[in-house]
Order: sequence, then C-alpha cells, then structure tokens
Amino acid sequence: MPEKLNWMEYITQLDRRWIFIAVAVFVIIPIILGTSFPVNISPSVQSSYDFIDKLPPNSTVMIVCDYDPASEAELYPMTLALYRHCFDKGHRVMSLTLWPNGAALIETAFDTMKVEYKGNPLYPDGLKSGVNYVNFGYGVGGALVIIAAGQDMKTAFTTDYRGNSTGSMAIMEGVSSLADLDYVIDLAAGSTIDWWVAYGVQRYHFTMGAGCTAVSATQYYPYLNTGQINGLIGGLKGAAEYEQLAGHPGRALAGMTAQSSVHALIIVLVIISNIFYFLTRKKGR
Amino acid sequence: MAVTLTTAQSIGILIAAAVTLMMYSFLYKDNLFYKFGEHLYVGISVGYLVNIEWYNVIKPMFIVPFFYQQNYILIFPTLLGLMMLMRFVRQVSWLSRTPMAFVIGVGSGLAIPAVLNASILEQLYSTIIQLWVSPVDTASPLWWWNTLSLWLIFLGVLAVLFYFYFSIEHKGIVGKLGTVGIWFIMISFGASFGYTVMARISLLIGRVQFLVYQVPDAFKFLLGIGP
Repeated sequence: MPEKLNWMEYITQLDRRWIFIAVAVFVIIPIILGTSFPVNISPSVQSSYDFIDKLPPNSTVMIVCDYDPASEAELYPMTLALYRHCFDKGHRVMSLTLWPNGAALIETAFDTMKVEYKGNPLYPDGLKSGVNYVNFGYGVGGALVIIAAGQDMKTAFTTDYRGNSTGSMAIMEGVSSLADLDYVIDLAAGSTIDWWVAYGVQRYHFTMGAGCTAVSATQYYPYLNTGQINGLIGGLKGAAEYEQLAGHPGRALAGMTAQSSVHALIIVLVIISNIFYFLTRKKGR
Repeated sequence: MAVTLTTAQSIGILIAAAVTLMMYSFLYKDNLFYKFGEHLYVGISVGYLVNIEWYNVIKPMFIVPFFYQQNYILIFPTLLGLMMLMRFVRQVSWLSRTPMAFVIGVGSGLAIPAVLNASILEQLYSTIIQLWVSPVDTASPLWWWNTLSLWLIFLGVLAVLFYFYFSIEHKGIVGKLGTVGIWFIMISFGASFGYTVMARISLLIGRVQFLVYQVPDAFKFLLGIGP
C-alpha cells in the first residue's frame, strides 16, 4: 500500500495537469468575456509608431514578415497593426519574407486590408496591389536577398507573389534600392533582424525598426541601445501597444487581459512553490 | 469590416480546430489523436515546403532560365547543388566537400566583416563611448536616469567579461567583479524567462482566440445561419 502523503508533500508533488487546467481557465475566461484594458506604451514601441506617423503621405514603408504560422499568434496582429497605421497615413507598403511559409500570411493580411479599406475616402478605388501595396513573397537566399535588394530592388524582386512583373508597378516609382525606402521594419520569429542590421542597415544606411516574438526580445535590445534600430515591438504586448497607438484595437489588445491573468497566476505559483520547497527542505533537515 | 468566409475556408477552420484539440490532448497524456495530429503536421509541412521550394527556387531559378531562356551558365551552380546532395551516398560523399567549401568561403567572407561591425564594434562603441547623456542634448527631464542606465550597462559588460576571464584567479577585486557579473547574468536569465513565459502564453492565447472567434463563424456559415 502506498505511503500516505501529508498535505505539504501532496502540494509539492501535485499533478502538473492541474496547473495546465488552471492556465487554460485563466486564458479562456477573459477571452470569452471579451474584457480588455488599456496597456502602458513602452518607449521602444512609441518611437517606431512616431517615426511612421511623422512620415509624409505616400512614403514607402517596407514591412518584412519573417515568420510562419508557428509565430502567427504574436506577429500577425503586429503586421495588421502596422499595415493599418501605414494605410491610415497614406503610405505605400511593401512586404516580403525570408521564410518559405510566410508569403501566404502576407497575402492573407493584405486581403484583410483590402476588405477593411473598401470605401475609405483615402482609397476611393480600394487598395490596389502594385499601387498601394506589393507582396514580393518569399525571398530565396536569406541574407543574400537583403544584399541583392540593396543593390537593385527590381532585380531582387522581379515578380510579386502572384507572378506579376514588378518592373512596371507604380509602387516601385522612385525605389531602386533599400536605401530609397523611408522605413524598413522586420517582424521576425528567428534571427533575421541580425541579418537586416548587418547586411542592410550597415551597408545601405536606411532607418530600421524591428518587431519580434517575446522570447527573442531581450536579444535585440542592444541594437536599440546603439541606434541600429530605432524601435522594437516585442511580442503580443508590443503588438497590443501598437494597436492602441494606431487606434485599431485588435486581437493583441483583446489577448492582453488573458496574458496578465496568466502572469499573475504564474507569479502566485512560483511564490507558493518556493515556499513549499523551502518548508519541505527545512523539514527534511 | 469582417472578412466573408467561403465554404472551403469554413471547412479548413473546422479541420484546424480539430487538429488543435488533438495536439492539446497531449497535455492529458500521449494518445492516438495526438500521434495522428503530429504525423499529419510533419507530413503536410514537408509536402508544403517541397511545393514552395519547387515554385520559388527550382522552377524559376533553374528550369525556366535553363530550358526556356538558354541561360546555360546555371549548370554550374546546379551541379554544385547536386554535389551537395551526394553527402547521402557514402561512396561519393567526398563530392560534397567542394560545394561546402564554396558555401563556407562565401558565407564567411560576407558574414565576418558585417557581423563584426554590427554585433561587436557598434556595441563596443555604444557601451564605452556613450556614458553621459547631457541635459542639453536631450529633451527628456530623465537625462540623469539615462546616464545611470549607460553606466549600469558599462558596469554589467565589464563584470560579465571578468566572470568569463579565466586567466586570472577569481580573488580580490577580480572575484568581486565576477560575483557582480553572475548577478547581471542571473537578472538577464530572469528577463529572458519572463519573456519566454509571455511568448508561450501568447501562442496559447492565439489558439484560444481562434477557437473562440473563428470556429463559431465557420459553423454558422456551414449551417447557413451566419455571414
């Protein structure tokens, strides 16, 4: 017969599935209730927002979507928030990805924008591919794509995602190199921000911002400190901040209540676990 | 304005929802549904990737220019690529050394100066030179706080470097600096862990939002009672 555990031992050996259930409840309930609270804006998100906001209309902004569906939860809301801000300001938006599975996500995001901006006074004929935006699709070759685009954009991206020639597109007017872009922002799930800084910013001297999954945010703060990037949007929290700044509350802002609830739960669990760990260790002595 | 669903999209959403639940069933225990979902994921990912590579790399970069535009010089990089694959055939695996040497040579030539400048020299410059934010140069009333932050970064870099400097015994001032270095490392691990928790929970939030927002719409569409 198994030895009966006292309550202290029982707590320290609690089946982890109870924790999974608690986390699920703390995520599901706020999302079903639909509660959302304003978030504090961090300076690194504010600076990216301010830069795009102050660009004159018809500026060219390149939003690089270096992620795939695995990171969609964090980076797709960020992409939509940036697109909405750019289209609100009348900017031209170019997008590409260095990840094979990212091109379809860009196309879906642009399709969403086309529906949202139908009937917008800024775009009486709606958003048009090749005029207001272009999806260059998957750029094959990693860092070499950045170097090629720095030398000649039209050679680096001969066709868009749909196979249309980019050479005659209105959006390409006045843009022959990365250096001609008014702003580049890389939304990355991996290490491509390093590539864009090393092979892009250092060589072609354009202004760059970055967005990344929360797990890699600490890795990119040094670039912010040196000024190699002028803004950093980190994870779902960063996306929520941008949505709030742009005045388009979306999925990121809606998810922040769940995020905060689970963080509170985890803090409580960490404290309780440590208390019981020290109590059982003391008893063992 | 909501995006209107199609029948195919609605069915796709329901399949995605079912696979999501299959994957999360692992949290209870390993089971047949999880295994099915896992294998489905691996199979579809590989198939999708092969498709992407064919239409984005092999066809536009070799098949079309070589066979239809007579760009015969492309035979050389293609041969190098095929030689790389010889790695899997033991008798001729030595053939892969040439393209590997080419890739390493070009990669190193491109990466070393660029990464050295972006990740080391620029960081060093910023850490060592910029230790003072003048109230004249910044509009922020927190100029003193920015200055303090810069000194903290400088001290942190120095202390962590001392912690990893093994040519001197860690005693006296060197030992104390090394201990400060450990504290900085621990704080950085804590920040990384916090961000990692946030990232993982964000993924769960994304899936729950999908199940709560999109799945009911797909059901409504297929039942003819929604958009």
